[in-house]
Amino acid sequence: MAENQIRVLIAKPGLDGHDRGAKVVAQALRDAGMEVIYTGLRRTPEQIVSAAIQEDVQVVGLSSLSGAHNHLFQKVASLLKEKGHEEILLIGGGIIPEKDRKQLEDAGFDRIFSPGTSTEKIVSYIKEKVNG
Amino acid sequence: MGEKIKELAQGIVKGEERALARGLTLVENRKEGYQELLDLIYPEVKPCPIWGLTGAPGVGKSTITNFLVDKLAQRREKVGVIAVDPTSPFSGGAILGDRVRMMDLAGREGIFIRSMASRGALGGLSPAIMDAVSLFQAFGVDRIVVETVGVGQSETDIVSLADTVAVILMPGTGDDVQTIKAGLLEIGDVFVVNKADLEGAETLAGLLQSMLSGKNDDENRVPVVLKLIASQGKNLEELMSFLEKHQEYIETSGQKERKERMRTEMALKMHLQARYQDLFLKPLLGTEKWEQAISSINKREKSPAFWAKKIISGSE
Repeated sequence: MAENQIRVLIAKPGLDGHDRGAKVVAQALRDAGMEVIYTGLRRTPEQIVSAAIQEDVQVVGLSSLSGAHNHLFQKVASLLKEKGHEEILLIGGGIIPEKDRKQLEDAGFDRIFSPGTSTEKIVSYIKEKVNG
Repeated sequence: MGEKIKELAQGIVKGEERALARGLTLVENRKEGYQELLDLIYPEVKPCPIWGLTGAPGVGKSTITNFLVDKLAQRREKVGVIAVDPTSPFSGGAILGDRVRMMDLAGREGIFIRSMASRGALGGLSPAIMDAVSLFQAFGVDRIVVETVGVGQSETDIVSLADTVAVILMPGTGDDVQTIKAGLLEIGDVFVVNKADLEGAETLAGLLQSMLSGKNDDENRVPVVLKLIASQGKNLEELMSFLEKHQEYIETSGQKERKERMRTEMALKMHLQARYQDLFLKPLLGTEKWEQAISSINKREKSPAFWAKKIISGSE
């Protein structure tokens, strides 16, 4: 088993009860051979960052459908930076308007995926970024 | 490489979370340097009690773990949690979802949770879980809780390494033969009938009681059957006090040394098996000899047993 297993944390920050999308992505990543740590709903940014560190993931994926992404996503990005984990690939998805996407990418997100993105695209993006 | 590994080992022994997290990844991937890391931390391993929880998916393991670890942390114990979920034999991937039920624990001081996939793609046990226990003990935790899906032999083996094993069951998952079949009766110190408000809980508890009554080889060690409703917090305290009492028994009865030896033997076996796979089995797959064996077996010329012997002995 001497290989770099890709580990991904999928989390839903804040008060958002809809995790169908997050679960679909989690399953697609598993089917692509990744280990996916799913944290469940209503996590605080602090909990998400703590889990990412303990689980030593290369990728954190956040999902939000509630509209609170600007605040919550940015908080996760800044906490990761604060703890010295900028090397973690940070991606997001959900209902996120175009203009916010740009803002989040400026705040440290590597990529925000828009609704309708195929899971294949997410898989190949992660593989390319992590394995180079 | 050497310096980096040394730094990592020092970080772990000093109790740095980040170093432990990195070290766990290293032993899981068995990348270059992992043995060096284990060698370095081994003298610093401080044994601590290990609790094991096992049971089929959905019986309530993580909810129960959440309660127990919360209690321990309230007492300012440092707790390590290893939550094992199965690796897909098809993709090699895994969904590790135990954190979903451990909401109350994430981000809290003194609690370190690591989700692990069972891996072991070619069958057999992955030594990573044993190594993870060692890393946690070098890091310095007061207690380790291991949670596994109790399906298959490797899972049973792993959890039976704990000082105290709780087997979690629930009503409505089959008849008594199913319970015996799973091989769980042999490893439990306590049997938990969770979701005891569901129909059939009494029957299951009674059945367990009668099946277990034949196994009191030591009068202090008749396995206990507890009924609880974990989601409502019912009887969880009772489970906690049982686990603690059992721990006391382990420490005072000489069982501790026996368990220690079992763990060591298991760790050695797992490492030997992993080495064998890396050095012998993996390089063999897909080679000319491998294909020759496959086609000869398929043509009914020779049996798989013949080829296994021939390959091992190396004779032509």
